[in-house]
Amino acid sequence: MMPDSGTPVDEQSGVEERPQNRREWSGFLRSLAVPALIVATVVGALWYIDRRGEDGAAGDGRYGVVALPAELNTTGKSPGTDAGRTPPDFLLQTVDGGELRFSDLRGKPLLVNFWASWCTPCRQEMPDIVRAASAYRARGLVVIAVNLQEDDGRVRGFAADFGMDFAIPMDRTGQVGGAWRIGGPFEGIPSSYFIDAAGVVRARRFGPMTAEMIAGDVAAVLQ
Amino acid sequence: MTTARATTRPRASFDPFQPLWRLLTSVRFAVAYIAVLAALGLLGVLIPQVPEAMRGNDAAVDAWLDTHRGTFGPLTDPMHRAGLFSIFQAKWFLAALGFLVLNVSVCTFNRWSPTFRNVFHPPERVPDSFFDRAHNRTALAPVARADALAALRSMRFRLRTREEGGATYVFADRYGWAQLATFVSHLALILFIAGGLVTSLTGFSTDAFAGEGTTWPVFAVKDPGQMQVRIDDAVGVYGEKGNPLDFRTHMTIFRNGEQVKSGVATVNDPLEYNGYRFHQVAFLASGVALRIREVATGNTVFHETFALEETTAAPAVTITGADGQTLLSGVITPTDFLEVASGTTVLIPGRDGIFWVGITTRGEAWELVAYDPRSSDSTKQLRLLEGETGELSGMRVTFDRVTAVPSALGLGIPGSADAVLAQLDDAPGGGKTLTLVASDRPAITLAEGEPVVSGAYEYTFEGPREFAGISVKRDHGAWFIWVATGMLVTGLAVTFYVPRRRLWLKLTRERTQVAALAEKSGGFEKDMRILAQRLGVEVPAELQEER
Repeated sequence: MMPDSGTPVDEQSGVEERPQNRREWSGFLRSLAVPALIVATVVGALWYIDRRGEDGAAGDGRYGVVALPAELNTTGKSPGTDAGRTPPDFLLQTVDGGELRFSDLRGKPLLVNFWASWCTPCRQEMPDIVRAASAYRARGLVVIAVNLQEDDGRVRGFAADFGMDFAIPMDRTGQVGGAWRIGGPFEGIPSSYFIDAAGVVRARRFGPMTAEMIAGDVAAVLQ
Repeated sequence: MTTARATTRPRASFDPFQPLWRLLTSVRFAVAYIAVLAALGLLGVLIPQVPEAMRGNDAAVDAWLDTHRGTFGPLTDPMHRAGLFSIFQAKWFLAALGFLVLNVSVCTFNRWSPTFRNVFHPPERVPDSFFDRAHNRTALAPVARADALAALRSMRFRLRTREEGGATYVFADRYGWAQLATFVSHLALILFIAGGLVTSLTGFSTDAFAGEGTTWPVFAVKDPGQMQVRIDDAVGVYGEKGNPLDFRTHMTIFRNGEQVKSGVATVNDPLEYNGYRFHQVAFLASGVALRIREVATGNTVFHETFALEETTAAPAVTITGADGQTLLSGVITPTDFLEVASGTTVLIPGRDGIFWVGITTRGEAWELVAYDPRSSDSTKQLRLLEGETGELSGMRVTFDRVTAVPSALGLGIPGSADAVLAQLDDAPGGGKTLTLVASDRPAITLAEGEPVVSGAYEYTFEGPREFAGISVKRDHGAWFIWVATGMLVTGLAVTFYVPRRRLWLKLTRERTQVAALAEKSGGFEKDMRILAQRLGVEVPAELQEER
């Protein structure tokens, strides 16, 4: 055997020693598109394998935000939860198995509170809301406490414990909370809206309320 | 005769993508590009980054930025807009990583054509001159065609033959497919980068610390995929010396109001649901559940499970009568926090007596302070260091040791406008007691499950609660990393341990010529010795093994 310089390509025979070390332009399709397609296919396949069997958000299509009848919006502005606007309408199941459509409450002054049992400030303010519901019921105030995405059993237990004797609609997907822009820039709970009999937001509170805050805002919607 | 070699030169006509291709296949560009990415990564380490928990919350990010204006001054906002405080999440950085994936992809797959040709359409007939100048070549004694083919097949070579000019030309190829392994290795590198990108773009991580019986949300409120996690039972197992042996938590996961999973998570064995992994990361044994009802309405106004993460110093004391009978032995939980000492009034069982027993410090040592308020000389104080015994009103008091009572200070507890100190202690007859101390009302000691009415409220200590720290993670990139690791190992193993061998043979009546390439792995000489042995011919001198 006679070793030589060992060129990787034998010019006469076309024998290539390490073809994988050579790059070759084969046109846009083979040099750019096919590589990108192969990688995209592999990445896509892995992504599919990873995501298969993953549940999407459940939820009954009937419940959630529904169209607000035009005649119920007298503000001349699109539905919203800023002061001076009519909030988006919704239809939700209540924790006791019934249904509640927000616009059916038109004509009554409302305190709409968004809460969850895991939320410490919600627990802190709930006794004051319960007291307010009792104190102003005779003057027509209706309190509804929209629960965010919890299971019925836990909510029922909490409601019985804290004496929440008002409607508790279940926002199971968070859709209504999103439409009502709960928490404003902080996107949190508790969030409370004080709405007058004409269906117009008069005040809103992001964060826990004291009894004095509730009394002041309730007075604004009872007028 | 020569075989026409496939052209490797770019086509003459202008192709607008060729400049891009040249850029992407340039080693210099690749090195420079990776260096730039590394430098940007270094910036992400040197410049403070917005904490993960704050990302996506504009108000929190603004607050964080305000705390850094002192350092970056007027550059703070421009740097924020440029993504320099969130480099690894910045769109431009992720796009740069994506471009790196394209770069490596193009570099890799541009080798496909020549490699494919050599694997599936190798030059089977080489010119005769190749047998005289190939990197590896030798000549054996003449052999019969059938014998040569049989010997090569026994060495796992795939054969192609042709007869020309009275000679037999043989192309023998072994493990040709092994050259494709380089693509497997390179594709693995691409998947590593892609996995990192996927993790950055879609990875999720959050932590929670919750007590038994409580729930917490995994995502921010309103998330359509929201999950609630309830801690059912948190367990900590400790060895005799207090060393942790095992932490585990039984938890239940709810989604859209429905229970979807229930099971146990440990430190190394997470509970999995829907691609999310719930790991146990922390444990705290000292927590309590306290319920407070309004007596007038019966409604609960306070129902919290809270961790007792602080401790209060308390003396462990033994009091015996003159006859040696033990009257009291236990930890004295303080309810009076005075300047001179922290202590409480203790009833002496069977003696109709009361002592005030407290603890303070003397230098660096703990000191017990006790006095009898009914004594004619109530100013007489007993002061003892740990382990000492003294006499007070005819009884012997021993300061056994100082203990740490789990405690927490909280505001907003009904019945008190001031902060309330909650202390958890062992009850004399077993079980636990919870003592609530506030400056604006008498202390309340609660036995487990026994309501106590004080003022307008009824207090119930529902019992001790253990706390679990749970980390929730979702990493879509994990699959990529696992697959890439497997591909890299496979590709490298094939490349190094399954060498391709190509032989060209020319069989004539005069001799048997063999030529081969300078394969990286060598082994030509060994193959030729085996071949010569199987053909029963002499091994050429240059192929003899050195002894």
